[in-house]
Amino acid sequence: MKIKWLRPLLFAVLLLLTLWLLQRLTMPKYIHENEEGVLAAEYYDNAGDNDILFIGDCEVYSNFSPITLWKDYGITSVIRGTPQQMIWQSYYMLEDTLRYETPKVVVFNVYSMCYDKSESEAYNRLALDGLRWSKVKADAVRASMEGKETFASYLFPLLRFHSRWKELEKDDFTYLFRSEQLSHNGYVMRVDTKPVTTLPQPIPLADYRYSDTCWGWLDKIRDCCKEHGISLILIKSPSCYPTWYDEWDAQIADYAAANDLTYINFLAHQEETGIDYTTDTYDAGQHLNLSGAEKASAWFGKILAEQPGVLDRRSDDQIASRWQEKILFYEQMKASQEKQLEETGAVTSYR
Amino acid sequence: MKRFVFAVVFTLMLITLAACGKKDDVAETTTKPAASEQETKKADENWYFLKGDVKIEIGAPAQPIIDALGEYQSSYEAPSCAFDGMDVVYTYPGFEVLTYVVDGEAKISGVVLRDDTVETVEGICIGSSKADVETAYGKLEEGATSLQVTKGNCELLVILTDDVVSSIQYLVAD
Repeated sequence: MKIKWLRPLLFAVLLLLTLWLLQRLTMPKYIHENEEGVLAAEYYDNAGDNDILFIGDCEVYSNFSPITLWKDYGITSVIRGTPQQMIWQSYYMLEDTLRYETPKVVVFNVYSMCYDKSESEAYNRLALDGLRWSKVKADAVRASMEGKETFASYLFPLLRFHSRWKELEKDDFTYLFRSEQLSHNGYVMRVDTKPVTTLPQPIPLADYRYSDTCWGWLDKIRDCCKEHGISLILIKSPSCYPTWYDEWDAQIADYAAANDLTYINFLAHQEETGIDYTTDTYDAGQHLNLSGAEKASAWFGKILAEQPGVLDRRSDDQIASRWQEKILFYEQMKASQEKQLEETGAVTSYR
Repeated sequence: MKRFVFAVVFTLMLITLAACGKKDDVAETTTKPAASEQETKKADENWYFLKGDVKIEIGAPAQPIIDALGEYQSSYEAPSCAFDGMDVVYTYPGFEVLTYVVDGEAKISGVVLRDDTVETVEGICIGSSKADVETAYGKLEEGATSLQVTKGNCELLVILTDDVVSSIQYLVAD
């Protein structure tokens, strides 16, 4: 009698286990290409005790260093940025974070206000596949899916990636059950420099108004912060390209004023931050390199330190010890990239 | 054991069918943006910009056009966030050519006319009047300050300021 139900059960468990293994094997590992794909998942190793949460696109994960905020001000912070992060994804990053911790301040980079539909499935994957399953992730997937995407393919990524079996590489086996840390509490480091020598003229737009869709999501971020007693700071992160139009800036400034929010356009504070686009960018002005990110963070830290509830945590031994480990990894990566730069003239690997 | 192997194979076949059953389904093998997302629509005829005898058309391979246009004043390279590929803006006297990479090949993604030294094939340039624009491309909507007309895979955008053309752009149609 016992055997009768035990065998089918074992059979089903083995089948599910095999499918799970195949799913793990075929999903992209993001170790040596499209590395930013690990960022969404890396948050969970850094969750808890963060007073500041950054949300937004590459302009947050490239341009601010939580390590500098810690070293200079004792501020604990984490960045939940992903490439081309849409504003609804930023909202769900905030919601997801609230499942683990309640920061005192949320910093949202407003560049994504200009996109009211997903740019591509590939960017959705980078933002969503790494999230842990919850109602928040399900809602994020539903909000993000393009026409051809299916919810089922997020629930069972094997449906999406099964055809990768043809192109499996060594990384797919090496990193079947583990990953390699890329970020420093969400910050992605680059030490090399490619100065701004010329910038294209801004291309005029037919309509500079943000869509109702984007305003709606910004309202949701605002309301969520308010509900949880979190201060919301809007920023336009320091970068020279793509163009940040004055017309966009004015709309955000008006919104901030109407909602009693702080808005900082870093482009208007170049002198105070000390950012020099001939030395502080690795791709001709689109993203900051390490020296730029440290300058931006050192300047921004003064403002963040004054926010209600944001404390200097350096006297807390437990937290200080965790951050000491983070500093070590930061210094190791910096040394590794500087060595690559010295030996080959380029940074070919983050680690 | 045989039954187990059969069950795994059968389930995989189901998955394959579920994922690839429809032609439209997402079944790309990599995480790079799907070619279909960026590939421009095929069309018999598109709007195009003519510089001398060089025809610049949205979606056309960029390198032969860049070579034919000769020396540019400047170029700006904008790498894609996370993925391989480089968007480039080439600046020439009076206009700019924008390119992006699709399946490893640079293609034309835009042309922006900057001054009245160049004009569209239909004879419109920066400074043309609203009446000239309407004669060439059709009537603007009441109160509109721009005109968007699509032909093939190209959207032609003409922006007017005080009823005078201030920008002309050839863009990839949505």
